[in-house]
Amino acid sequence: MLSVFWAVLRRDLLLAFRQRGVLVHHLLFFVLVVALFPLGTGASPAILVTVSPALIWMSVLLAALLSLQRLFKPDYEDGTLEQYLLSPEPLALIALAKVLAYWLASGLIFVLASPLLVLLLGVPASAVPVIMASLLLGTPTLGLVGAIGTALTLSLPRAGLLLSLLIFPLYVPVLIFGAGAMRAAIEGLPAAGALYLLAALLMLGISTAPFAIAAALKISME
Amino acid sequence: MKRPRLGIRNLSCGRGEKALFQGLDISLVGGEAARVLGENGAGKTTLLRTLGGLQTPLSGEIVWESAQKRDADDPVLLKDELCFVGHDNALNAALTPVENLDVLMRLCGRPVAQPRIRETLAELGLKRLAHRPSGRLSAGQKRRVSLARLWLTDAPLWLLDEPASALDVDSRALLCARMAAHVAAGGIAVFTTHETLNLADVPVRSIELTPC
Repeated sequence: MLSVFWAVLRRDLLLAFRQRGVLVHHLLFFVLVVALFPLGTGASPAILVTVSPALIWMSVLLAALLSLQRLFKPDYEDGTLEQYLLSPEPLALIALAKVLAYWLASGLIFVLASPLLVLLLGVPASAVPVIMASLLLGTPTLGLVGAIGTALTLSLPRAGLLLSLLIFPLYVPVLIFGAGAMRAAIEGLPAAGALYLLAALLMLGISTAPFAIAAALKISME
Repeated sequence: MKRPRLGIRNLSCGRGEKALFQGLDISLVGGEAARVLGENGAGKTTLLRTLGGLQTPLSGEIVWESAQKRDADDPVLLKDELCFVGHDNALNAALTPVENLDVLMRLCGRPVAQPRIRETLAELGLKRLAHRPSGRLSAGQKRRVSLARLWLTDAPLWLLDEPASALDVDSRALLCARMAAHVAAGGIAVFTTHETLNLADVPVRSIELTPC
């Protein structure tokens, strides 16, 4: 059973590596949104630090939305998705492997890029570990929840707008606790509570989302 | 040896509430092939997808009796013994034929070693293309790569949707020979085709779909 999980994970990571231009696009998008924002707020470092949690998390949400649309689309178009559904192995496991590969190739890169960006915004270096932890716990949940939405809208043309309407409301808890942890860290307050809640959301996501993704894929393929 | 059996009882399929065909009854046993006949839009692809479990029938049932024995609580399901070659080739353009086939065989629960995949591709005249991105192959070459699964699998039930599309004469002959060998060895093949596929020496039954 696990051999299919590893096979799909390896395949998608290999694809991400072959098509690394796409990864660079997503990373550039993330960096540019964050970098352009200060041009609009004017030269007040205090304001930038205050809004940085919202800014970082909104950029992550937008970048996730952009990249999620391609999560199942190529497989849907070339017929591989049919083979996932026909497999005797559980579809939820295949879905989990796909989301994990997706996260390793996008979410994890955002996590690794975040220290540089928050330091550019003037956030104290002491807050960086908590910020990275919040992104590390929050971005996989974004991938899991987003995958449900993208699986549901797979057979629709131009599903981008519908996808955002479907998944942004579900991103609210991650946004609240993720930005909350960041804000607490910047103000020097304990952030453990928000991080624990992010971890709880991630566990909830890992244990339930794969089944929802599998059901959504089946509906899309009918 | 016990032979596998595919039973279709009073099957109606369609999209939404509207049925494409109704009341299909047929029973196929190992050693028989069946060609699905019907005009465009009669539901040939729908029938194959329904048999594979990708679509739920409007009514009726599909029974798979495996030749393998396992206890009644844990029967061998149709999914476990299926090789489905659909309309699309299921090849990712950025992966090579070898990588694509490796994943496809793992997905259907019958992993094969890479040297064997390379040998099979060589037999099908695709040796030079085995390590090129699949997106650079011609339509017929892609189809041949996708059909290479038939040489790699030992699944008893084959569902083939237009397997011969875009194939040249030689490849079509190879395909016919492989299908005939599979059926002669006790397997079942259900296929749709617009080209003539001449399966010498094996019984080929017809499943006629009449629109309702």
